[in-house]
Order: sequence, then C-alpha cells, then structure tokens
Amino acid sequence: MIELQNVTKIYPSKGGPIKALDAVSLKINDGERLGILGKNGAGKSTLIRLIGGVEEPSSGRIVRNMTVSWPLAFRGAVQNNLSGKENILFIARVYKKSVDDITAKTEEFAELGSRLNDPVSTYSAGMRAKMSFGLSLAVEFDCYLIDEITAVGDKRFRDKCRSELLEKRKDRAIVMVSHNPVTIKEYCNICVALDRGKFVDRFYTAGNLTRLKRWQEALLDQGA
Amino acid sequence: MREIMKTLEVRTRVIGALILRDIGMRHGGELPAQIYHIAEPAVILLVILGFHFYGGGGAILNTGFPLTAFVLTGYPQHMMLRHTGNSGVPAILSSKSVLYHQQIKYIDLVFSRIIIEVALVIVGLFIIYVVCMWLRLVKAPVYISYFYLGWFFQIWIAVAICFIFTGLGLMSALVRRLFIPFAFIMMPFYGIFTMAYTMSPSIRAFFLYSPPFNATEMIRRGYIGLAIPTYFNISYTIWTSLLLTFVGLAIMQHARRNYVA
Repeated sequence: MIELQNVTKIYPSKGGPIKALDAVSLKINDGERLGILGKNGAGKSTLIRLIGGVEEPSSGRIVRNMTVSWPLAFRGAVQNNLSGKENILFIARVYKKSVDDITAKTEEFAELGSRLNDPVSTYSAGMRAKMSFGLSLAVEFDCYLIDEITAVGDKRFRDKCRSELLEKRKDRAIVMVSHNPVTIKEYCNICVALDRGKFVDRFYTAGNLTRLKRWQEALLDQGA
Repeated sequence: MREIMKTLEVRTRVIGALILRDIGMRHGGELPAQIYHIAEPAVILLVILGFHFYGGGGAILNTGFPLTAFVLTGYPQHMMLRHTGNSGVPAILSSKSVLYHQQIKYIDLVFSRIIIEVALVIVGLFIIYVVCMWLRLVKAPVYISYFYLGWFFQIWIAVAICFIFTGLGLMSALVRRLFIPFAFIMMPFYGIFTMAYTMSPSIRAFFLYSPPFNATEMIRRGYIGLAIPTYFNISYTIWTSLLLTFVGLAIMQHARRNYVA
C-alpha cells in the first residue's frame, strides 16, 4: 500500500512559489492499477516524483508499505555516465540481488547485446527505455511507476511490456501517467484526473471508455 | 534493535555501492581529479620545504616547533575542508536520479562523496608523513591519541560544514561560490599560521572559539607532546561540532523539502 496524506509540494520560482500539488490525498492498495490523467503542468510528474521518493513533499506525509520502482520513462533512472553493465552492477548492489541473475534477466528483456558495455549516454531513447524497464523487471517491485513508457519503442517492445506487466505480473500495483486513454484503460482499473495540483475526478476504467474519451478531449482542448 | 541493525546494514550497503560506483566509474569519472587530491599536500609541502632549506631550516616563531611538522599538522585539515565542504551539491545534482531507489537517501549521496574526499586526504597525509619520517623531517607523534582525537574532530567538523554548505548551496548558487572565500577566511581559524601559545591571552581566547582551531591544537599536542604548551577545550569542541552537525542536517532537510533537487 502507498498512501499520500495531505501532500503539498511547492516549488520556488521567479514569479513566486508554485503549488504543484495542493493537499492531495491518495491511497494505492496492493495490486491496484491507477492511471493518472492531466494536462501538462497539472502535477502528474510531481506526483510520480513524490511517489517514487526522488523528492520529498513540502508538507504532508507519504507512507510506503511496498517496494516502488523508479519511474519507467523516456529518461529512465539509469545513470548516463555509466555503461549498461555498470548500471546493472550498481542496481544489484543497492538492491542486494545477484549480479548474474539481474544481468541475465535484463539482457533477455532489453536485447542490447554488446551495447551493454557502452555508456548509457550513447543509447537511443528506445534503448534506454528498454534498459530501464528490463532492469526494473529483473529487480521485481510490488509497484511499477510508468511515465508514458509504453509510447516508446517499437511494437515488439510494447508487446513485451504488456506481457510482462499484464500477464506475468498481474498481481502487482501500477501507477501510470499517460495521455492515451486507450493505454490507461488497458493497464489500469482506476483512473484519476489531476488539474492544477488537485484531483478533480476518479472513476473505474472498466466500461467507462466514454468518460475516458471525454476527459481526453477536455485535456486536448486545454492544450495538453 | 533489529531495526537499527537493518538500517545500518542498508546504509553501509548503499554507501558502499555509491563509493564503488564513484571510484570505479570508467566513463566520465572524476578519478584523475581525485588522485590530485592525494598529491596536493605533497606539492604544498615541497614548496614549504623549499623555504625550509633555503632559510636554513629550524623552528617556527622560536617556539621550537619544527617547520615541516608545523605545516603537516596545520595544512591538511584545511585542505580537507576545501575538498569536502563544497562537494555535497555536485554529488546530489550529478546523480539525483539514483534517489528513485528508495534505499538511497539524500544524505547517502553526500556521505559517500565525503568519505571519498576524506579518505584521499588521509591517504595523502599518510604517504607524506611516512616519506617525511623516512627523510627525518618529522618524528612520530608523542601522544598518538591526541593526534587521532584532533583528526577525529577535524573530520567531524568538515562533515558538518559540508552539510551546511550543501543545504545552503541547494538553495542558492551564490552560496556555492561563497564557499571559496569562506574557506580562505577560515585559514587562520584552522591554525594554519599560528599556535595559541604565541598569542596574547585575549587573542587566544578569541581564536579558541573556533572548533577547528581547538582540534589543530590537539593534533599539535599529539605531535610535540608537552614540550610546547597547547590550548584546547575538548568538551567545547564536542558541543560546537554537535551544534554545527544539527544545523547542517536541518538546513539540508529544509532544502530537500522546499527546493528542487
């Protein structure tokens, strides 16, 4: 379970402080799949960063009772100045896993071959996404944070993501940010909409495609 | 108790992984720059020794304190301050993304960098000390315990100052620049140029407000023993170091909660 209690995040800016999240409360139960909709600047990325723990809230509390992956995004949590292999070594040490095991699993998923010896900074966006995703699958988390990753890469990669997350790991929780209502519907059972740092809607995705579509159009109108 | 052991285990594992990453980094690593940190005290010492032989050698300020030993017991701790004090902000900014791994805490990034910097200074000092002993320029410390105690405080103070400047540096880029002048201003307060013994009582009392000055006096007591009077207050140094540490941690926590990074 992950619980956000009255979480506010304020960023300083030249034009005065910006409230990216405004007293937000949220609970993600084990195995629950939450999709987050919202236009640019609504606070989606901030929410992901706070749930992921890379930043701390200005006020409020976040309780995590399960292991949470780094956000799987265009720019993964892999370190650019290290090679793929060095990233694997680092992750294996931090999470106390067998290096051989993590290497084998990552290689199997990412299919990067000898490029694993090159610095991640030389990878294409797709390769980086595969690397980051493969590593997170190898570590095995209770909850996966997904930031538009399914929009990256080719069909083969997207099919693999689907099979790994929706079939092999269907007991895990997911928090996903996406502009695509079809993806949200496919991956998530609950959807929340975020606007100006507050939750403005919350509904089950099953049988609610029209509501998803309506939200999507509303977001597009606002220039998402 | 089990909780504490578990926390300790995770902290050491994480800090170990970060240190191994930093020193093992082949691509864009900063290892050459770090090796320079070992060499720096040697370079300074060569310059000092040049003066030493040119000027006929001997003692400083007629106190009987040998010049080489005076430099070796005063300069390296200030160098350590310079290398550690400003290392926290780049340590965080350059690898912020690893904070997504929940085992890794903000402070681990700072701490792993400090450990590397301190270790390099200590290794450098050790090598030079051994070389100087071999050249008979310095002797073994008389009271090794005071020597270690002084160094213990110097490291502690450097860590605390690093915390303070990391927190402030995250809030303001100006403070990051101000660290260098700060370090220069601190030079006399580290006891690089002087000993409390040579000061008038009122000046001495003023300088003894500086915790690193106390610690340097401890190091010099360790080296020279009771042959030359040294002045320090251990409990005062403990309390001020503790205070600096808590202030530093509070500022870092504030920066973490309210500023980007």
